[in-house]
Amino acid sequence: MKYFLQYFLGAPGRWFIQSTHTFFATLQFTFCVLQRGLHYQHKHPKHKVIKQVTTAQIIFSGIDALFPTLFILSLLISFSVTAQLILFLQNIATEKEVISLLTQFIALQLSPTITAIVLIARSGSAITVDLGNMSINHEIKGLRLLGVDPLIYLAYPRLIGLAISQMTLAVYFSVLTMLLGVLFAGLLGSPSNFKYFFILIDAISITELWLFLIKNAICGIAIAAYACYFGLQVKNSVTEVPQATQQAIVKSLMAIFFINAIFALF
Amino acid sequence: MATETILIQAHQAIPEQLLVQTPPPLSCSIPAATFVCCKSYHLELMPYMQMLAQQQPAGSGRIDYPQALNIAYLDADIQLLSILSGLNNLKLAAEYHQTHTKQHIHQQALQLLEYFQCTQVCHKLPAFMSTLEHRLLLIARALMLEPDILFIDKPFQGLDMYEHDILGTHLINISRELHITVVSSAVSLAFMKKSAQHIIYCDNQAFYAYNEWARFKQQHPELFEH
Repeated sequence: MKYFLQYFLGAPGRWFIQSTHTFFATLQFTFCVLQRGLHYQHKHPKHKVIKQVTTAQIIFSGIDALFPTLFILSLLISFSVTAQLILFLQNIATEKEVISLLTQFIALQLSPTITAIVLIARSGSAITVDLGNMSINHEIKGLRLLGVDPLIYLAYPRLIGLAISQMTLAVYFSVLTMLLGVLFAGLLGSPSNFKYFFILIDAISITELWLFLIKNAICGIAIAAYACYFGLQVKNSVTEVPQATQQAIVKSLMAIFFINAIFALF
Repeated sequence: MATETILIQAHQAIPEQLLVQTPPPLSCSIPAATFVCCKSYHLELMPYMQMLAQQQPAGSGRIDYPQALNIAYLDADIQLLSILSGLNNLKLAAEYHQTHTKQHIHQQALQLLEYFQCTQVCHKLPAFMSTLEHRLLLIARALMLEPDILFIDKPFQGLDMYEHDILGTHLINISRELHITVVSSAVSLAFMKKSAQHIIYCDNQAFYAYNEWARFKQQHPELFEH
């Protein structure tokens, strides 16, 4: 009983220590990957290998996700959230307040979070499984023996690819969710709601846009960093792969909400 | 004479990984453009191969490399990158290190595929290749970096007799036609007789180095009793 209580009471502490350790280890991993990758690209500016892998990652994570996944999601959210918010808020708030709430809540907060969740589910998990299997099959050892740095060849393009994908997907999703939301609000409510199309264009300032892009780039890097870090941690057994994938997904999700919370302060 | 050039000289060397077990120390010379077979029924030779290939340090003794060497090392565990086709696997390291222009690397990869009679795996992913094709491509991938010496541990593991003969012929050709030193472990006595120009044998007491089959056979008659 005593040991059970000790174990039970110690659990939150252990979780905190482990999470903090993973966070700093992943942070160090991220800086290491970026430093090595940038140094390599600086040394070989005309190099195509890294660009090819980065492009492949952008196609898989960014372009393949545009349709149908994100399009259908944006269609559903614009109908169930954006349009409903417009219809509800215009009765109690001014036009300016409605637009402000829509941009702050839907475009700048909700859309990047949903995009990041989709990216974690589609690409983050795939990267962890991919790298985990490569580790088990000694493919990474083979790369090292050829003098190919796995952090440069495997991790760096994924970090950059996911950062670019997250930025573009978030912009695409935000724009689509807002525009379709206004469209649905016009169709469901009064045609006068179409006026929001024109007001929305001026609603986001340049500073907000920059913060939005930076936040999404960091989110993309965080997703890829956790995925690569846990994927490369796999050593011997195939049973480690699902465990690593689960860890990568959970930690990435927490990181996304953490980054969103920090950027909400600005 | 190219064959007189010594590439590696080991003096009483023991791999760091084995130091606590006090295994026999290795003393040998590896000349250029020869086929060297390492054999032991008592000892795992992989750490010694790794030590000679600079994959792990010597815990005691010394290893000299009289000239700068480009060393390739392969063992039975290593796999091709599963996400790339055969041709791209071959080109990967050369393109990463920018050894030549892109066109030259492409031509070099195609020539090696032809040399190993593996052109059919050009666009195949490793998952769809046979064990022999996979093994040949691993060797070709290592050769893309133009090594002076190729260490290959347990090259015939998992191959049937027919595949064994094909790979064996290719390994002999690498040393004789491409003038690359090949150091191979865990080969059969029949293959050693056919191919080895130098033999490194280890019983449970010491390593012995021979530069001809007859002397090896004479010194270790117990291996040929059956």
